[in-house]
Amino acid sequence: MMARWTDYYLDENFSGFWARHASEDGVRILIILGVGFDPRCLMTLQSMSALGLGDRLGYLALKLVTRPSLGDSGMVTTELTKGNLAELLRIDGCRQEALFDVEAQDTEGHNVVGRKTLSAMAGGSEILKKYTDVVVDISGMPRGMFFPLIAYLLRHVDRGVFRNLHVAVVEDPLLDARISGREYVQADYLHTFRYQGENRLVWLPVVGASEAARLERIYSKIKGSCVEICPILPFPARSLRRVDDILIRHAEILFEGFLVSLDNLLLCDERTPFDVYRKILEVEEYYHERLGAVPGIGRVTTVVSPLSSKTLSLGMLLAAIERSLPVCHVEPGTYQVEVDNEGRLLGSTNCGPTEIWLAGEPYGP
Amino acid sequence: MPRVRNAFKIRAADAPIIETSQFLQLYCPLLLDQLQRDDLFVPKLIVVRGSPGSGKSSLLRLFETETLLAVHARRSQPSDQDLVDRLSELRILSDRGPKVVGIYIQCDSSLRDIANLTPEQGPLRLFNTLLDTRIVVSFLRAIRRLADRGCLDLPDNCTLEPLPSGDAPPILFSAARTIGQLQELCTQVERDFGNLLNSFPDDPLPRSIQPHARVYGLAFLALQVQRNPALRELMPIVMLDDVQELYPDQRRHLKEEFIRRASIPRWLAVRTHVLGLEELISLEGAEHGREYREIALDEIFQERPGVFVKFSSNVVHRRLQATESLQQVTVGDFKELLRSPDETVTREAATRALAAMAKRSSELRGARALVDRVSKTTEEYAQTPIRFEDLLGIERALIISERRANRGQAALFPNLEAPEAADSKTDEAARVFLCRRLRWPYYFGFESLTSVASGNVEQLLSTAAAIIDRMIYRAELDRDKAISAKEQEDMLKRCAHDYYQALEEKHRRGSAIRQLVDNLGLFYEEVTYRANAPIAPGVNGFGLTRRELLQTVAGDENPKESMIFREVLTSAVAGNVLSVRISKQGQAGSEKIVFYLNRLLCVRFRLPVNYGGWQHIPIQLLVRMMQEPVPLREMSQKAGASEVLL
Repeated sequence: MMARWTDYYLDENFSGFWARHASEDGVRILIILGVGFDPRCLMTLQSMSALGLGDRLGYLALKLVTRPSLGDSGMVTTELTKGNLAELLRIDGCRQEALFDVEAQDTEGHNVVGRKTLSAMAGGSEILKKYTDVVVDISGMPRGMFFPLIAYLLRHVDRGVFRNLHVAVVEDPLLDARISGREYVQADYLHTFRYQGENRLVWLPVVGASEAARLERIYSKIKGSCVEICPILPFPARSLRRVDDILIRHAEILFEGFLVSLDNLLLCDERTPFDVYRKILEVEEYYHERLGAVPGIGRVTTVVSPLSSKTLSLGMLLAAIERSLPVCHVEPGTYQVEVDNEGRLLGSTNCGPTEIWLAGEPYGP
Repeated sequence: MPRVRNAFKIRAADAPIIETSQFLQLYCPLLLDQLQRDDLFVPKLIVVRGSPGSGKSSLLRLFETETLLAVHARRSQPSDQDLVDRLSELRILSDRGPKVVGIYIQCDSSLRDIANLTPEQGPLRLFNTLLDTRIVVSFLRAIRRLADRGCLDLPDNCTLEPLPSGDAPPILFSAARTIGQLQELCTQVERDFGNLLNSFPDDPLPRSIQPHARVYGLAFLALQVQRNPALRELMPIVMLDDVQELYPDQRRHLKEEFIRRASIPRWLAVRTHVLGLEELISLEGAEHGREYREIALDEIFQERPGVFVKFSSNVVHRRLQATESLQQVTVGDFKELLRSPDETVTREAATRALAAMAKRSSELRGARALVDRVSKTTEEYAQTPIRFEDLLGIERALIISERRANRGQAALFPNLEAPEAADSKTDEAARVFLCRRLRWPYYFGFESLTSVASGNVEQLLSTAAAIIDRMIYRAELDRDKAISAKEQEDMLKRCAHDYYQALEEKHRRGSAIRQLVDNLGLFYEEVTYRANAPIAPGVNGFGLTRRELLQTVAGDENPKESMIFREVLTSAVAGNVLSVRISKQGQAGSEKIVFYLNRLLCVRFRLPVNYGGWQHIPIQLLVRMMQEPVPLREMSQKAGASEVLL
């Protein structure tokens, strides 16, 4: 079966790519970004605004509105978000198309960020028509937000509402290590990736640094139908020992808790979303063919869970879009961020955005 | 279950833990005793309430066709005879097979998420449609299953009648259809609901989905069992589980739909009502007994604590059988391997303890006899080890002396005063005190293991897993597998530490829950270890009156405080960090809702694991305790002084 992203476009020289691409005639670029506490959320826009595109560069910001937080960690993230918002308004060389508030949770604490994001986008659908290229900067967006958003925009680009769809992401494992999720909500399927049916399930979680609690929650949700688990681990990764650390930390839950067979571990290159994408498609096909014929099992559905870096999550998303796979996830309700005495995030990132071209000209006939 | 290294760590616990046969043997008779024949055959609404893990889902699932068919298949086995008799007595089971068709529907996120569709789509009407579809699909599947197993004669062309046109039924119920046709239609509607829930904002409503003005499924099923000769002997029961997962509007709507008279029984299972759920299925205006009945599972298990111990023994036994190196260990052996501490205390520790007791008793008014007793014991055991029980007697006497000394007026002839009658609570308090004084293990043995599980099987397995790991290690090295009391306590403390560390990460409002637990632990420890053991054997819960709860939740005076209180308490109870029990002690009508700490947290703060010791804490203080560290003195003054309710 021919996959949509068998050939792909990925460029780590983000500024260089956009300097070239933006110089083409008629190119108008819209950046869609999520504004929260993460210091990386503005980096793509800052980098693009330095290109001097003037009115040809616009942005649509989705401000994450979380429920009132209690305690110090809540105050820290609130202050950092305020700081990022003020910084956003100070960025020159681009035009603000819209700034939408997007609620992350409803009054009962259930995750509604995906649905609210799409409602906001539907309200601003006219904006998309004014641009040739739409860049979704997922650096400051939770999975519950960018999964449905990219699926929604892919449909629009396929219908010709705009010409090209790109994704930008700033990855920094060191910074990620200073941010940890707290107060996890219940495991649930992400909006537009909900599972409805009675098939047996094959579960493909991509496992990050410390995810035992989330793995357990997702497993609790699907265990009634789950017949096979294939954990995905990052290898090669920026640090080659990362896979060992992850395995050691999760050995008990994976091998003794879920009885995962060693043969089921999948290794995927952490630096590109397309490796994990390809492997998920292969695994999905394999189980579809092999288990489908087994009496008592029948048709199986592959469920994916993005519990690792944004890049790997993006690969999962592409596979989920292409094969209509359900995505089961647990979003943190709050975050714990390490800050100094002044309330500034400890450590800063030296990494820049990566360009991933998802749809449009390179994929044309 | 396959043989594995440590079967206690397997997380696929749902099916193996409460597999049908075990569930039927252990829980079933107890739960079945709560039912009356009227509950099944006089159609009314039954509300099953209970805390997480209390067995709500298990009770509902008992009536699923699959479970009843399993019982029917085993009816000749002597071990199941009592159960079969009870089910037959309730007319649930006949010689030919099940007569009750339980339609189990879980209120999951897809049912809830309908509320988030655009208002133009009529979310409540769509909710009715999906509920109707699930009710019908489940019913059709069940009767086909019964027919396949020979328990029902279902003609090939069995046709289901439509609802009368006067009821303005929706398409699903407006025409006569065969079972196959109706099943196909329902499957299509369900599939389209999946598409609708996954749709983008500008997508149209799928054509097969017709919003329903109300829930028609109940009337439809009632009509079938009345009119269709093949189904006449069946009684469908529509059972909705996890109703608390729905949005408040949906819950209110459901209540209105289900309280309306129908010819078939309707059951709703809901978590024990706490705060935000207070209004849920309040059933005002309905007549208790005739129109509805409540079954409070927590109260049943409170009255029969031995049931969980029995259940735990069975779970441990089966897990041991599946653990590679411990296959030969029976549950009886396992209990033996959990050793008790020595009977004697080392001389050094005893000398230290006796010195401290002597010092304290000499400071107490009217404790001359005790001073003499301590001194005599010290001399007597100067050269030999002393028995723990002997020290326990002195500790008990010390507590009683403290109580006597605390009384307002000294007795004129203290030696002539009648000694305070011995009671088991004071004995236990003395044990708690002495264990701390001697650094002696307090939490050991199988009973402790089941107590710290807080009635939760997952918690039982995770604590037992640590002990089993140690036994496996020893078995592999061919060493004695016995675990000393000290080791057991250390392992339970580590489990308690892990549980405590995970609070923030695991629960909604986790940081506030952890803050509350920190403050409560400090406070409970202080009250428990007061020298006169005022609330023996210790305190590990706080109580509130229903009025206090309602006033705070209403939030008229302070909405922010109300929000914090409601969210933190609801989340803590939902996550089993706190468990709720109703105490009717005191004056008539002075019902108190008591929130007990999870028993593993009691281990962390070295508190006894019994239920019953609690104190009233004013709401304002409680809300503060959720937000910041509160000085111990303040907690003790405000909580202790305001009103000692016990």
